[in-house]
Amino acid sequence: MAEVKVNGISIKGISAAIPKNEVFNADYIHLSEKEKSRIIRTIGINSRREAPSNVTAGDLCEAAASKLLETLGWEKEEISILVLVTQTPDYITPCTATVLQDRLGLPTSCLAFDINLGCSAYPYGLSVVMSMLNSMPGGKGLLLVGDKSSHLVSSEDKSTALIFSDAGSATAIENDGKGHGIVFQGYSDGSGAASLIVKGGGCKYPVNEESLNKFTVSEGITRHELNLEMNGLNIYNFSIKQVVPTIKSFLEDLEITVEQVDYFIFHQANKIINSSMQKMLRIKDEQMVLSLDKFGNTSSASIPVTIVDQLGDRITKDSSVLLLSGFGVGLSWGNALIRTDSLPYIPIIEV
Amino acid sequence: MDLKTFTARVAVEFEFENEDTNIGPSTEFKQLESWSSMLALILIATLNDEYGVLLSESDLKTIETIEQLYDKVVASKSD
Repeated sequence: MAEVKVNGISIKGISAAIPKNEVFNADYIHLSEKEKSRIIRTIGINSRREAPSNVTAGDLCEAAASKLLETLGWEKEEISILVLVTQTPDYITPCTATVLQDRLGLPTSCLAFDINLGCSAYPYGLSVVMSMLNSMPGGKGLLLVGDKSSHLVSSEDKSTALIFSDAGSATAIENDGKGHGIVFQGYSDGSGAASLIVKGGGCKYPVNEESLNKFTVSEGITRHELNLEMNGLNIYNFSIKQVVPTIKSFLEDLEITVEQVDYFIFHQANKIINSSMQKMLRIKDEQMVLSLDKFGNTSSASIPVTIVDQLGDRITKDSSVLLLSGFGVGLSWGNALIRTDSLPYIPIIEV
Repeated sequence: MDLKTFTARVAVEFEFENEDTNIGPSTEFKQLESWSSMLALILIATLNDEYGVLLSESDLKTIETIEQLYDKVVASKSD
């Protein structure tokens, strides 16, 4: 098992940005009313956000980062790390992080790179930035995570179209010698890669003249090769069989109980998965933080979006113990324990 | 748990799709018009949440009737 433990590093603030364009699942036209209402009840998602064609994941992260830097009053010259975790970069190359280094006005002495992860992005990203800052006393870094999943999803695929949503986020991290840092455990199982995948468009299956030809997989599922495809049953089994036991063992390793965690913030997969995980781990409703109903599954950004939207005004005053679990595409998953200390309240930003 | 109560519990999920559905132990549930990938997911989650048994997609492929599903759940619980 891979474990990262870092002390003396603090999270100074978290912000999130979503597109203004709100889409309601009740308005979905490709299903009967009955099937639609059953799906909405099962996935627990009523509305989602879809970015217009001229707004990217990079734009959403930039908006979140600008507001965060303004709120904290950080000098841009002080920032030495910029990491973006996304699966929907602005370009195939270069990485979006270097583009954002310039657009955010950060110095050229700031290192910047992308990480390609989705549902597990936030705990992985925190562990990477905190590990790097660990050798930079006084150092400051920004972790951006965000995705424009609407770019990948077929509107005629009932298995994905009603679930995924767009968002970006920014987290300010500082080696102040005082913070509680992070304990992180990460896992991978590539044997399940095909359970959540965009097959076409990379080097394995390059774009060709047939890439955009639509095909019907089964009733209600029509897509092309550049769309995201998901086997919901496999993802459910993965979450229960592989992720839940690692959260249990993580708590045991930390020698803490479920009751000692203030809030559990899991990747917002869908209600049927998150509810089963909650039941198996015996997490109380008031500890389980959800934003699924109004923001859907925002992929990489789902954990920070949920923190900002649901805990934003609750974690401003006191110190809170947060257990994060990101799991999904890869298959990749990671669990992290962090402690927030009187974070500034930054309401979610609409772009 | 017995076959009768198990059948009644599972029938709830099928009757939600179509209230005229008449579910019994010998019903070949995957042949029902209402059978879908969503219903498969709901069924798997119900069995996990209420009986503590996690079945996979390949398990479902080998099961045809409600009684076979019951037998699988009973066998998995005793493993």
